[in-house]
Amino acid sequence: MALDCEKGTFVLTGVAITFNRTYVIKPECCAYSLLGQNANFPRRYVSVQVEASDPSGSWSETSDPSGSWSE
Amino acid sequence: MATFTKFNSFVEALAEQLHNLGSDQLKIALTAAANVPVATNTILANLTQISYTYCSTRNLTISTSAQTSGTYKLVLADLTLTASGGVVGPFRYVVIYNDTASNDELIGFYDYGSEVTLADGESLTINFDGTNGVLTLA
Repeated sequence: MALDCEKGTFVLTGVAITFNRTYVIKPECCAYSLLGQNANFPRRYVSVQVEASDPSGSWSETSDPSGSWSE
Repeated sequence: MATFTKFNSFVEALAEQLHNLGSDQLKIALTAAANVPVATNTILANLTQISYTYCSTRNLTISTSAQTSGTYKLVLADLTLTASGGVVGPFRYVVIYNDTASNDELIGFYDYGSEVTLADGESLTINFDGTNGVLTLA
């Protein structure tokens, strides 16, 4: 007598995943955003000042024709 | 979505008791685009990894390892890799291996799709499927 055996089949299935990336926003990126400019605007024409003593807590912007940044 | 690519040797290693997916420490390895994992790799030493000097823990947490109605499912908790003190990368491939197994046997890998470098403070979360798991065996 004999028992003819069929093979057993197991199927391994891998499941897809997603990635989430978190970036660090640098100060100059904030300036771009606040000024409503795209990232390619000429940096030398713009400076951004943070008034620590400003009770309103708002940002101000100035035009700097010399092309330098001010703090 | 990043698809799971199985290392061929994983199924044999699973059948021959090299893995206990319910209790072993599974871990992530990262490789650069130039060092592509291939299905015929078998152990961690086959891969060229990036430096992890500034990388947070790469240990994975097993959420569940169980069968329902004859279908086994391995579920892993999401893992967030964070660069701290310097950059991590560039890397492209995210590999799962068994850190408990005698030769750090490989399980499978995912392709991010492009090289990524994490600047100091940046992070990458690997979102495993909490419902369908990482892999099923039926």
